[in-house]
Amino acid sequence: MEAQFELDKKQSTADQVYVYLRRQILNLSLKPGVSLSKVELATFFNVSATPIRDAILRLAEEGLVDVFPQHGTRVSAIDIDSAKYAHFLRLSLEVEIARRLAVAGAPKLIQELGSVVDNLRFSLSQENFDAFIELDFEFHRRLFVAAEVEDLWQLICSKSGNIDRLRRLHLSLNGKAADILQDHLDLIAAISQHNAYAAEAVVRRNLSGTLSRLRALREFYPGLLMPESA
Amino acid sequence: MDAFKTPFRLDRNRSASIQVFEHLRDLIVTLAVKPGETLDRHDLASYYGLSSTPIRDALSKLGEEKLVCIYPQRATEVSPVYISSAKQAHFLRLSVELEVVELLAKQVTPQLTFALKNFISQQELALTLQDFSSFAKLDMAFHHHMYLTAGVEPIWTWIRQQSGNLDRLRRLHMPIEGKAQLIVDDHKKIVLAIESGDGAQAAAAVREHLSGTLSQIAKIAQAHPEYVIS
Repeated sequence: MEAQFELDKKQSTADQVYVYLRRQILNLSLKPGVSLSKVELATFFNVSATPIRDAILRLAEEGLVDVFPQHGTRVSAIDIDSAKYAHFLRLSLEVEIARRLAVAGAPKLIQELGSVVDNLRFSLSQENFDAFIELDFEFHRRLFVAAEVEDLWQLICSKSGNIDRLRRLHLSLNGKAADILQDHLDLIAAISQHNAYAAEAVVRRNLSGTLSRLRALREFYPGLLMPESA
Repeated sequence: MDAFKTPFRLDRNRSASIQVFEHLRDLIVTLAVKPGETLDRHDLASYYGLSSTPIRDALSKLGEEKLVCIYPQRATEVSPVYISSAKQAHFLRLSVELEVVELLAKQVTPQLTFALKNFISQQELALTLQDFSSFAKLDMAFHHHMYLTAGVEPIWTWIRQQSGNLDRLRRLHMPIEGKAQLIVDDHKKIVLAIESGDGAQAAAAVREHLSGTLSQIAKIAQAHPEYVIS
């Protein structure tokens, strides 16, 4: 981990360590299989062992690291089963949200989403995928807020460590980011035209890509993905 | 604390904090312990015959499910019923279940419809015997079986974990006695639609089945202002 870390004394140390490590794992700076030494982490973050242990425990609960007692901790391989559950959850919720927003109309949301899409377009032109991912999350989070179900966005985030890592892999493949951008524009159009069917179809298309490309992802990134159960 | 008069038997083979969590959660969700009641850590430790660590861990998990409010350095209180949390849990369940039945309708098997009809006949039997505790368990089993067959069983658990406030609200509302026949009729409609491979019809039946609770939420909140926070 070459990046810098600065501790904010006003916030929980364990939280900050958790957030930092989680981001590094999700953007694949820390790749599956990399081992995480608690001693080295404590030195890197310049904190005691307790917050490190708490942070690792939380990452383990989300399935992002494997803790082997006596043998240390490793960033876990991408678990396809877990990715599928998270995908099903997110698809169900976003389909229902899109339908409701299209039926009820959401003029304020449409404006907000328009400016998020502008930023997405810019980050794509710079090929800044990390920024693109953050903005993509922001786009989706706003849909949940508009539908008054923001807690459910938090739920999705806490379950999506594996699908998010798959998406990150997928995004580096040619053309995926441009497709996402187009999906977002189509969703905005469908909601503003009160077209619930179209809105639902866009959500399904937008979220279906990654899992349907598993075979390609496996070939491009051997060793990072766990085998699926039958 | 009347709820704590019956002695508690700890299973030595399972995690103590999980058993405390499950027991307390059950008391809170069934309203045996009411919103606003204080949960004193020392009292709990002596009731369960445990040290303070498993108690603290259990309370902290209940806090994550928004069932208790933990005031650092002070007591822990059973939280009011959060309407917003209940509504979001309802939204979650509805969204996922719509997707589940549409999937099941596409890949229906005789085994599935046999199993589901079997749950319904048992429910009818429980209804004739006026055994509402069995009825409620069978109701859960019916829904659980659909998630299992759709291959998304973990999501059922996630929904349960989000539903503490919704379950408390249901308790405040109406004993299952008054609506048991309606539940059976709804279940029959759902199975019939799945059996004929009609996903849209199955989804409509689920929407109708789950809509009752939502329309009651406002009424329940009005009837119990002392327990509820919107």
